[in-house]
Amino acid sequence: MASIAIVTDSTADFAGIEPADLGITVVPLTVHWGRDVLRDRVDLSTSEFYDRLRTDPNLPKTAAPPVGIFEEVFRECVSRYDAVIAVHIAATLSSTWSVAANAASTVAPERIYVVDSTSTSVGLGWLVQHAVDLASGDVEASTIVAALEEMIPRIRLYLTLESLEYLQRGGRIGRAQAFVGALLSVKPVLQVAEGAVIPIERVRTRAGSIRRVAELGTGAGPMERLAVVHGDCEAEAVAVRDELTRRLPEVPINVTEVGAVIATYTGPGIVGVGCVLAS
Amino acid sequence: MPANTEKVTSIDGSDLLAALEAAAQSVDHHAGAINALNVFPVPDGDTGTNMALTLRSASDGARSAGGSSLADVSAAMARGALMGARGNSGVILAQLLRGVARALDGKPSADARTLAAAFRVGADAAYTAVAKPVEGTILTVARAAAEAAEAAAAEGQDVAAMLARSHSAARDAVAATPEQLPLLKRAGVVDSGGEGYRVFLEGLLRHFTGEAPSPQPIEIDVHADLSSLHDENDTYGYCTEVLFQGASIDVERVRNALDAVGTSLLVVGDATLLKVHIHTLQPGRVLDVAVEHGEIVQVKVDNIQLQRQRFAADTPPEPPRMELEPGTGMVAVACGAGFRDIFQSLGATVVDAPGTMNPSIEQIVEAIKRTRREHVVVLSNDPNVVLASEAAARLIDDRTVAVVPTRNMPQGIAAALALNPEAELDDNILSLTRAAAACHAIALTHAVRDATVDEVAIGSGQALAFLDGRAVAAGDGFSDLISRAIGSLPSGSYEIATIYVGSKGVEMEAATFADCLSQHLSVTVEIATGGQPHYEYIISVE
Repeated sequence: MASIAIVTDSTADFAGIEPADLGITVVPLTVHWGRDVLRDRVDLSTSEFYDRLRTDPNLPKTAAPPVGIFEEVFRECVSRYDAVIAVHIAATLSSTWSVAANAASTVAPERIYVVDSTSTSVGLGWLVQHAVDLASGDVEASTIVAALEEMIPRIRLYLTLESLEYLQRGGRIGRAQAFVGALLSVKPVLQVAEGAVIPIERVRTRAGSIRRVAELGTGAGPMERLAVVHGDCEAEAVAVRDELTRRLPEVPINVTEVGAVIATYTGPGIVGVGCVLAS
Repeated sequence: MPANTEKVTSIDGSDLLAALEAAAQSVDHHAGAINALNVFPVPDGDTGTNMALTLRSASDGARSAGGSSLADVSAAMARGALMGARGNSGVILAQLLRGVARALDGKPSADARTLAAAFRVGADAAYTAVAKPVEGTILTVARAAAEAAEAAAAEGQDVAAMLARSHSAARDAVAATPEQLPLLKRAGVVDSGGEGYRVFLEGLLRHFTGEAPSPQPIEIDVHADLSSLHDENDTYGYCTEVLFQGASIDVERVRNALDAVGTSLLVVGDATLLKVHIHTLQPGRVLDVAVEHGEIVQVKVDNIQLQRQRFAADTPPEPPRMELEPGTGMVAVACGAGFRDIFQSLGATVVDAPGTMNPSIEQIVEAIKRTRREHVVVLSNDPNVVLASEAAARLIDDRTVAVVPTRNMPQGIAAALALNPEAELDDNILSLTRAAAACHAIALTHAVRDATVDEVAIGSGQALAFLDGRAVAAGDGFSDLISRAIGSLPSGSYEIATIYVGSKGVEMEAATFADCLSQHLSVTVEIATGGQPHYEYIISVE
């Protein structure tokens, strides 16, 4: 039966599992401050990142992995495996997918599948885990890709932020621009879906916005999995997890912190609830 | 460097390395100006920086090759570019350089003809690298440059002359990009990737001739219509754009200084040339910041309100049917300049109701028409305005309109916050109604005559408190009334109280109410300007 390598990028968050235990290759995006180029999760830990975010007067920028890196990874994978499935952050949020697709077409277009998750963070992580689970059985690569495409619409991810300024300055604000400029203090409630950041509503208080995110994240139907994501606000995330565990004891739920690349666009204080709806 | 008048009939690896280094430096030098051409935020917004970094990697790679074989150096150049490619423009450039290297495989040196052919292979490689090639970008410029190079080489021109023709064609192609991409034309700029490639070619050319046709990058047109980038709900203030230059502008300090001055801030460029765009009520402050950090090159200031009013005034009575965006917009009736600003800032079209809070049906109809969405919610914010709102809604036939009969402006604000701009009308009516119902309002005023209202006896001149439209207490001081009004609130948990100061209210007095509110209700208290004429203070409790 075909052996299949799974590849993803560093924006993927794995709730409750170490990526190293999955036997996958994670290609790091980079974060740069001025001329310092740091690979996400390799050269930079998230606690270092938030420390620097608070003290460095310059805002960091991010970059997708260079095409040469993907070519190296893919060449290495095709030399040891029959096929490669690469799953990546939404193509509309980062050029990572198109760079990977570019590399795949150069190295071995018939053996490398590049999937656009249209999501990121735990949404991407769940797809990768699903691919890993299927790849360990007797499943063809094309079948796995079809299974991933079937899973994508079942993923939900809602989040709230301390402020929209990071999204705006990073150029990822999209339709959420409608929520910018309120003269009252409000917290945005947003959804990440189909590769876009979608404005849902605004709430006056932080506590209220976190409650809404938990409601929306769990309100779409029966769920297979749940996760709470956060950026440098673990206590609030744990409180949400505890409350959701009380309400939905039968659904496995984990807390995970987003990586530096995503935090660059959300700023500290992101709290999100994501789920995979039952099929 | 003096002009090199000797013909360059062929080049080898060390010539390529030297030229590449010069070109990489040139792109690096102009990176800021190339960045400033980016008019829309894209995943790899900094085209100039990305191309500069990619070329730096390319020349580092080329340097490591050693020896003077053109094939070796160009292969190392391509490998370096690929390993360091940044962003879409960097990746395309790296693929182009790989194409060039492939064409030079096995050749220790190359003449103009061979080089031109290599550039052609490079330009083709760039096209195949992109899943959906778009004309009006670096692809078009690279192809035009390669074609001109081939034509020059076929005429027997040497390398320098060939590069000159190539660069000239690139310049023309860059100038034509706005005709190929409407977004560039609207923004009044040329394509940044294309311009970056032209600068690269100019760098190569300059190395061989010792002089460049022109050291300046193409002028950036600041009279650009960037409104396509912003939501139409950003409707107040001045749209202010300033282009300024300096020796070493502290970009982050500029950004931080402007963050507080307005909204929709865009800052593009670098320490030598910076373009800022912002919507602000204080355009002078933007100019102050610019002058503090450098030398102003161009300024544009537009009054957003006037532009919109002019547009509304110019619109004929029966406007031709314009595009309606899907989703739901809102109209809010507001009394008081502060409330008007708040509703506008939340994205609503405001019907300005003067003191009597009774706008005409026509005013409401006009506001609904100005809200360019397929569905519109009308927040009447006063029981007396509900009938007029419903009558106005019935007069609109080109989309669905519904009235959410909010009783007061705080309820209207709660509803406005709950609006999901992308959802359909029915879903929104439900959430807005729920949000409004959860918001209570205490209104404080002075009675103008003796009366009994809602079984509360009131003396002329006495302070008077209403809760959700019902009189609940009369007395001598507002603070005492607030406590009594709080006592009448339905039981439940509240999180935030906002004190809206009216035109007859005083912010310092409002601050004294904060303690009372937070003590009785354990809420966060905020103070805002309402500007309402009749109630000194309106306090929302949610």
